[in-house]
Parts: sequence; structure tokens; C-alpha cells
Amino acid sequence: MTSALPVDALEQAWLEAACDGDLEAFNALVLRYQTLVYNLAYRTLSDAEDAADATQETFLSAYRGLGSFRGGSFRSWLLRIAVNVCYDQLRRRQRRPADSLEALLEQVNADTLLPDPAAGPEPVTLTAETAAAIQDGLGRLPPDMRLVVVLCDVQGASYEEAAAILRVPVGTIKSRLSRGRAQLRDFLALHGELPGGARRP
Amino acid sequence: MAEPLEHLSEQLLSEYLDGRLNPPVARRVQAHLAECERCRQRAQELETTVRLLQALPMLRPPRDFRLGPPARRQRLVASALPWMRVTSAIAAALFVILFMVDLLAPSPAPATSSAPKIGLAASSPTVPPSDSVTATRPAALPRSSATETEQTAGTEAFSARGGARVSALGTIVPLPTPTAADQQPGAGRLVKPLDAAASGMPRFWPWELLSGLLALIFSGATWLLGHRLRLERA
Repeated sequence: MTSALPVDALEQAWLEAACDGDLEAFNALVLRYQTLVYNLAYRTLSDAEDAADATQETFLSAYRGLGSFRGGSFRSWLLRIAVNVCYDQLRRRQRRPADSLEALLEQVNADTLLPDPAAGPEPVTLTAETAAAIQDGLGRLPPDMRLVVVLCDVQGASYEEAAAILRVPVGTIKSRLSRGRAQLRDFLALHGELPGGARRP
Repeated sequence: MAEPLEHLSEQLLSEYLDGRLNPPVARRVQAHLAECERCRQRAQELETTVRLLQALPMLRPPRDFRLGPPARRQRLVASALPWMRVTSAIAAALFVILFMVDLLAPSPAPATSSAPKIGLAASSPTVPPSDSVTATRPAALPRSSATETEQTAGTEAFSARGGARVSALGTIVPLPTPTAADQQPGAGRLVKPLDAAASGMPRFWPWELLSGLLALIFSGATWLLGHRLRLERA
């Protein structure tokens, strides 16, 4: 890993220029964060088109609202906007029928996968079926839980960062995360996606 | 192996997996897991679930989300809107306040009976004797008052009495004003509201007009710009 300082200094320079209205500088930030924002939106909304719309909306809102950025982590600030856009999308959707597993599977196969930067020492390889089942399970969680699970487990945010993004206490993050994980575990076990096979009734 | 009466809560298991428990609590959880088959299975499955979530691949965005030039203009408009809203709100508030003051201020009718009394009483202590004579000349009905005018010390008492008489008569206004207004700024000032009241004009009307116009113009412009912005965003 190269040192993080020059990168952050670069980001800071882009940010300052963008705050002064420099669209090119802001677009440099878009290039850096669009994968992160798109993935947050996709994991939350389970729909590629909705996720793309949400991503575009996030960057437009961010550009318009740069004046209200009060320093700190730009990533957290941006993800907070993305979370709000996703909540709006979910509300607008008003319980549209959930995507079928087949549709999700199709979508996962169609999307080009990037190498996972967060892979641990023992990378777990996912089949497309398992990835689709996880996405299906995520989509069945209540939005509050789903967003915490996506932020903490999919995107690797700490409890504290998730608390800052969602503007809730760390205790709330802990409880939503544990309930979300447990529901997802039960869903995956029911669908035979967890090794260990037969599940208690 | 006997199952313990109480199982570990999901939150305890979850925080245990994340390594976020205090060492003593973590040791108790560990001890429980060693004994309880059911909690052990839950913990293992929870860990697998978290691993699976972490292993979800990063998807490549289907398109480029960089913003085009219209975003710059939209941003300018969007940043101007709050200020325009504030301005139109202030102008509207000012308009309402001025209007209310005009409405609630003492109406012109009672003002006519009180104003000249104050005018006479106020002018008398400061004015030289000659002034008091001109001011009271029209009301100089009683004979005895003429003798009192010659006593310099009696000026004040006289004019006060004269003023009282004027208001008691009720005819009042125009008689003392022309001369008093010519010679004294104080008296002139007191007479002014009567003129305004006579013509039926509210006291703040230019400011009311201005604030009302400002409120109209700004709220109209705010609405138009906001509407255009909403259309562009949709």
C-alpha cells in the first residue's frame, strides 16, 4: 500500500476546487467514488437501473450541496447522501413486487464483476446462485437493517462510520446489524446456502 | 451435554464475531459456546453469513456518472433559491407588520380632539410671550385672560386654561395651526398627522407598497426558478 497522505491531499484539492464550482474537480471525485456509491445503491435497491438512477442523483445532490459540506470525511458525507437517495427510492417504490431470484441471477451474470478489494486472507468464492440468494435475502430485510448490513458487512464500514452516515447512535447500529445478520442467516440456511445442511425446524 | 437455560442473544453473538466485546464478556461468551451446541451452530452460521456478505463482488457501474455543464447552472440557481425565499419572506413579513401597525394605530378621528390640546400645551412653556399671544388670540374670549397675559408669570397657567377651553369647545383645529405652524417646528410636527388623517392616507403607505411589491416579485421569481429547476431535474 502506498501512503494515504498524498491521495487524501489530492482529494482535498479536488474538494476545494469543487466547492468553488469547478465541475472538472468534482468529476474527479465522481470517478473515484462512483463504484462505491453504485454498489451501495445496488445492494440496497436490488435493481441495476434504480441503482444507476440513485447514483446519478447522489452525485447531483452532492454537487449542489457542496456548500453544506463541513469538512470531515467526504466519503461518509457522500454515502450519507446516497443513503438518503436510496431511502427516497424505496419509499417511491411503495412495495413494488420483489425481483424474482431468476431475475437477480440474470442480473448478476450480466454485470461485470470487479476483483473484490476487500477479500480477506481466505477469500470466499461465491457462485452466481449464492450471490443472487444473498441479494434476495438482503432485499427482504427491512430497509433500516438492510442499510446497516450493506454498510458494515458489504462495504466494510466500522460501527462508528455507519453511525455517522446514518446519524444514529452506535448502539442502534449494533442492534440493527445483529438482527439483520440473523435474519439473513436464517434466510440463507432455509435456502440451503449455508454449509452444514439440514437446519433445525 | 445439558443445554444451558439461556442462549446467547443475537447481538452478543454478532459483537463477539466482530471482536467488539469487553474481554470478560468475550470470555463468558466463549465459555458458553464451548458448552452449548445450539449457540455454537448459530455462531458458525452467522460467521458464514458475514463472510458471504464480505465476499459479494464489487459490481462495475453500468455507466459513467460524471456531471455535464448543465449541473453547474443548476447549482447556481439552487444556491440562489434559499436566499430568494428568505428575501421574499422578510418582505412579506414587513408588509404585514406595516399593514397591521396602520390598522391598529389610533384612528384619525380621536386624534383630532387630542392633538391640538397637546399642541397648545406643548408650545406654551417654551415660547416667548409674543408667540403665546398669537397662539391664543383666536380663543381669547374671556376678558379676565387679557389681564392675565400682562403678568409674565401667568403665561403658562393662562395657555393651559385657554387650551382646555379650546378642546372643550370642540371646534379646535384649523384656528391655531397656521400661525403656530409657521413659527414653530414643534407645532408643525404635531399638525402633520392630522393632514394625513384628513386625506385618508395610511402613514406608511410608500413602505407598504415597496415591501408588498418586493414580496410579490421575489416570491414570483423564486417560484419560477424553482419550477424550472424541478422540470430540469425530472
